[in-house]
Amino acid sequence: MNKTELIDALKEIAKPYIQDEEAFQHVTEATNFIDDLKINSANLVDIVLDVEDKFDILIEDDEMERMLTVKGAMDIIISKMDV
Amino acid sequence: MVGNDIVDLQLARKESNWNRPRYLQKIFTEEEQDFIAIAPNKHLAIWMLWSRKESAYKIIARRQKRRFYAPKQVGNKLNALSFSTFLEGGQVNFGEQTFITKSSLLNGYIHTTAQLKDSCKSLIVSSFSLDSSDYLNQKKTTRQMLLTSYAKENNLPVADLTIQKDAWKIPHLYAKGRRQMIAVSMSHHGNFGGYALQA
Repeated sequence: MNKTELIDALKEIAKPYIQDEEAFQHVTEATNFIDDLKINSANLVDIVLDVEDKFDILIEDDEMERMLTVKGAMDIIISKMDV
Repeated sequence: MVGNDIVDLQLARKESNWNRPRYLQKIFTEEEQDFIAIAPNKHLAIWMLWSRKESAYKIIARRQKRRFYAPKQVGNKLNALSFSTFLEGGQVNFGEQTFITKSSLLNGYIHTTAQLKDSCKSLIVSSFSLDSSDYLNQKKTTRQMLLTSYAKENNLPVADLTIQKDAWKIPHLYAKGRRQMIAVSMSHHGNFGGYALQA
């Protein structure tokens, strides 16, 4: 899976929770789930769980700290998929 | 500094499924999970605990000028004598820091404010229902409610007042371009908005 595919996969996961359609059309690695997509912080955990399910990985609490941006999520997924 | 958080209880029921496997374990400490397990109203307990974490987190993020997602590091201290005592407020800890939270359970929503234990001041707190749950409208209305009230309180024309966020997304209140020495926190969720001001 290349970076573009990974971003697309994350977009698909984030889609049900976004509150800013405009920002959603322009998602990049720098996109912040809360600031840009206006995702409720209580729904960020759903994204964490969806990522775990989709990629069959387990995200530790200290890793979850960085799950605020698309880049943060990508880094976690990539590091887990290398194993 | 001050933090506040609103939870629309009906919307929370709709947009968050806390029965989802691993959900509670990801965001609540063991102490909090034990408390939820025996709570007479789990839905209420969960969102009360969450709104307190969020309120305290807002202060932590502002003090540290750092954003992170670590709900379990911000833990409610739960030695409440009864569920009704718990509903009024409590203590939240983050490392060595202690926050005092106060919550109001209103008609369909929870409004919580937090302050650092050692700098508790009297707050101006307000919450209200919003006529639209559209995100941008919620944000605009919540700001407008705050500015209107502050203008009235201080005998200022509301047109002179603005709220601007700094590079760390911390909101500040300005009157005629001059930053006011007052801490501001705003929140909205679903059909409800609220704010807290600390002089």
